[in-house]
Amino acid sequence: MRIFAIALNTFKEAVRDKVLYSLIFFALLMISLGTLLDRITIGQTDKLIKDFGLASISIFGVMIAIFVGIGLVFKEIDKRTIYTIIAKPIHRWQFLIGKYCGLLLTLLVEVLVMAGGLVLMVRLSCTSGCDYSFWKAIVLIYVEISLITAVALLFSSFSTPFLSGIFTLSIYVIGHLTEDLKAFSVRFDEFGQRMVGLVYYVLPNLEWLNVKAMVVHGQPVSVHEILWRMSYGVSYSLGLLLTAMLIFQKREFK
Amino acid sequence: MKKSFLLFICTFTVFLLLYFGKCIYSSHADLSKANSEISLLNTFPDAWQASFYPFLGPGNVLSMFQTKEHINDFFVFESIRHLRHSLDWNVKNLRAQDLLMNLARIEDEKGRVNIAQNIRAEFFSAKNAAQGIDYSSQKMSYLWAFIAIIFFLVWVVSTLLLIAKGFNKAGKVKTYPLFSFLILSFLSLCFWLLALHRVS
Repeated sequence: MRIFAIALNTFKEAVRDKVLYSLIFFALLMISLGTLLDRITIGQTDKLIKDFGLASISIFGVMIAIFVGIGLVFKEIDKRTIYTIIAKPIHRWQFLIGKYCGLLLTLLVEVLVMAGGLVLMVRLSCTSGCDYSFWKAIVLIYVEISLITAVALLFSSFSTPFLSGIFTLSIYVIGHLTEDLKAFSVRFDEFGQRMVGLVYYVLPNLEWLNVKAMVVHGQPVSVHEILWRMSYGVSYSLGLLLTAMLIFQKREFK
Repeated sequence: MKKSFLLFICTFTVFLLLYFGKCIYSSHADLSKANSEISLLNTFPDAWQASFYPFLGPGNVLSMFQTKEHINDFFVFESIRHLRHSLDWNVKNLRAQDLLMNLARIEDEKGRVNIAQNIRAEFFSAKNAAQGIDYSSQKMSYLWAFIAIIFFLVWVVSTLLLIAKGFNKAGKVKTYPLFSFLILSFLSLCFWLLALHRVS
């Protein structure tokens, strides 16, 4: 119940933020720009719109997750509202989970709005037999955004917003290139391979949550596969949250 | 995070897109120069589209070959050149292999056996390049080298900052600055490895 109250409060706080509306506006603008690009394709308008739309949802979703996620805890400390909260009969982990859930709710609404925009664009562009299988990619984009939010929350539990932003953005970039690290490890000796292998397994494999190219090119992606990939994202996020809770539990507020 | 900064980032993203558009237009101009026998007016739409394929995915090229009859040899090879670039960029490209084989088949059906053979040769060459992870783009190598240097400098600065301000009065290292430093070192290491992978 306490977690729910904090989550609801975080959600209300987030929807009052005008920055989010401007980000959504830019995202919808980018999605609609896809229709202008149909002149450079031949009979592939819907594919282009989906490609462009999914990329926009992903990029702007991650931007929102990073910008809001890094300030989630820091704002409370900076404004000293944290003292009034931790003085109440509430555990620190409950506070952190509540904040995370509130942000997830905000991101869910935003992803749904952007997905709605994309569906509208696809509906307007296709002449017959619209294909909406891109919902699978959107589900995994949301899981990816949730994971990035957990990363941002973990870093913001002990670092400044600036550093947290850099760290989270770096994790996002490296997370999409972990396969390259694995491929590169073959050039090392056994010890080097183990070390790079360790780095590979510690970092989140965000490409595992990326099925955009598959759905856009009409490749079959089963629901079972989506659930399997989702379970990876959710487990990783839970691990990050657990670490964030442990750090936040021991943190001293001056 | 200030609102004006966020707005700046969004505007910057849009300008970045415009910049890419300009680059693509420039690459189109190069393509036109490459074959003076074909007039700019006739080449423009096809070359423009070919320039976009690395961004859009190779699946579009196949459908274009199937729907268009008037494609000239120049465009066939320009498309493949861009596809090769696309393959180098995205080794895991899902339909690239099927696509090139299908292109060869279509050319066979059209009776243009030589072109079909060339496409197959291009396919195997691109495949070998992709397996060896041959990132031929010089600009990308420079970009990765730049990223690695930036992270190295940031790492050096953070090390100096940790030495200067990371200790308390008792002489013990502060926990959270140390955490930040360790994470920065770890991320720098990852970027260095990735840069090394791309540059080497």
